[in-house]
Amino acid sequence: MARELVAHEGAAAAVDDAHEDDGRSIVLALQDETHTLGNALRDVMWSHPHVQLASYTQEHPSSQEILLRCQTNGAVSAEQGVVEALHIMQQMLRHMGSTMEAAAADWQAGQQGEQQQRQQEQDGGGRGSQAADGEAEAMEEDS
Amino acid sequence: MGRTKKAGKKEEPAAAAAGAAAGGAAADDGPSTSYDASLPATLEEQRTRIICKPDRNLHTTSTIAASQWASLGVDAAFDLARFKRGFDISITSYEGDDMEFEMKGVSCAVANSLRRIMISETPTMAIEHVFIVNNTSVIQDEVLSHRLGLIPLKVDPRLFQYKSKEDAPSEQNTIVLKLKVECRRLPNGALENDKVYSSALQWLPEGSEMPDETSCRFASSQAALVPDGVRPVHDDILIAKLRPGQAIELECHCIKGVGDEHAKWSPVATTWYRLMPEVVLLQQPRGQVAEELAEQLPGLLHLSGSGDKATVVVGDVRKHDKLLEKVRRLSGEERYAPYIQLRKIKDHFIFTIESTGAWRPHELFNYAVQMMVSKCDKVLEGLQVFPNRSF
Repeated sequence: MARELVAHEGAAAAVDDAHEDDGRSIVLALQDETHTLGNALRDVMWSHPHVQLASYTQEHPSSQEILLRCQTNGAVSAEQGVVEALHIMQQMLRHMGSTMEAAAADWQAGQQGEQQQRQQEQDGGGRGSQAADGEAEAMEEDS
Repeated sequence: MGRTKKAGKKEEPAAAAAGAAAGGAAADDGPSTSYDASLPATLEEQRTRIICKPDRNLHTTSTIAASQWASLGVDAAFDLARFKRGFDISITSYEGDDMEFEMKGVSCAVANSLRRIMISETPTMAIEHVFIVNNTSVIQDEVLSHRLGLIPLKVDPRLFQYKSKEDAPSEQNTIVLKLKVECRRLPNGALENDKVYSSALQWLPEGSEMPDETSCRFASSQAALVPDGVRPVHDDILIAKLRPGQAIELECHCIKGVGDEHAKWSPVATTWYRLMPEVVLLQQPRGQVAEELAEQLPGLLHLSGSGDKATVVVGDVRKHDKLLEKVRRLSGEERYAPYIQLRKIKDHFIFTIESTGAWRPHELFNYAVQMMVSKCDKVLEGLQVFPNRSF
């Protein structure tokens, strides 16, 4: 739900720039977003090779929108810079999510392995945690 | 406690040349996101470490522009393969509803966003409306209602829909709990129900027992929807105390909400992270200085040799949290400043999630990740679609 800011007091100058420099800068107003998205997106935008400036502001703590500014070196439009930063962030997040899932599954397998081992020690057996570890590794390969 | 399981299968390569402090035992395996062309050691140190001086911390910023070191031939632009190489989560303890894990290779901005989402944007079910039939206890109705609202409930919020003000309460958006207790003196003189605990809350899967007053009518029973039932996470939360003859009779209607609106919906007692500490020997202290340092920091520094040949080795930093601030102080003393330094690793987080019980902690983390992805999607919807990645 982003819209390009057309008339906003604080950012009027930036919007003028945008018309003069072929879309090299843009100010977006993101509705119903806060520092949660703003700061992370700003951080990721800086890591985009064509982005020269990235910043955001929540103009008042009670306002329901943030203003996001992006300025590029001209190789891509500012809008494309923002879009690519968003895709980068999604890729990072998806990898983080699957890593956590693998770590949790691994932990659980470790717990079960330990239990099994304890059980087998009681029974006088010897196999146990190794099998569980093997399982966990197979899970990782999948993800 | 203390059991460590690695999520990443491969061991990290030994400390990358540039970042790891010379002569010091790094707590980390080295910078997790080192660039192909290495930065000069001083810059790499500033990029990856916060230096903790006694009176201030240095190099605390972490945002890096892609072109920051272009003049040095180092490209800091995002690279997914490098991110994947550097990123790792390893759970260090997972007991009940508390999980602690180490996460490295991600910027603090992203870690903080996940923390914020877990606290204030992840839904749970909580008591929102209390219909009081009778309350002759000394606790006022509104205080009692507030106490009830704060009781964490063990029920998966994903089974329910949000209820807006206009929506009529139904089996899709409301859970009904009943509380009916009366205190009386038993023939043997003991008191019955003089303490009302959360275990006294009864789930009503068929819905309200007084639908005319509460305007809550279920079309069908919730028993199939919530096979595990609904109950407080803890049975021993004291709600009220009664004297003989006093009674409480009420109905609680729970709805789905997020911590942003009221903390009672927050699924975490709290969740937080801190940076991985690192104790570095700037140069190897010898002889008497080494002995003094080892004495000041027992366990953290191990002495080897004796007399003039005495040297120290840095032990496990995580096991000596309480000595770290002492390291910071010692590093400001003239005698020890040349030898010892406290640092924090900027992209290595010791993350703790304390769930209130409705969610498993690792599920909370994944929910926050999903939430963040969908926030990006929401913004992308309003923007143009570009066919190619420009780099």
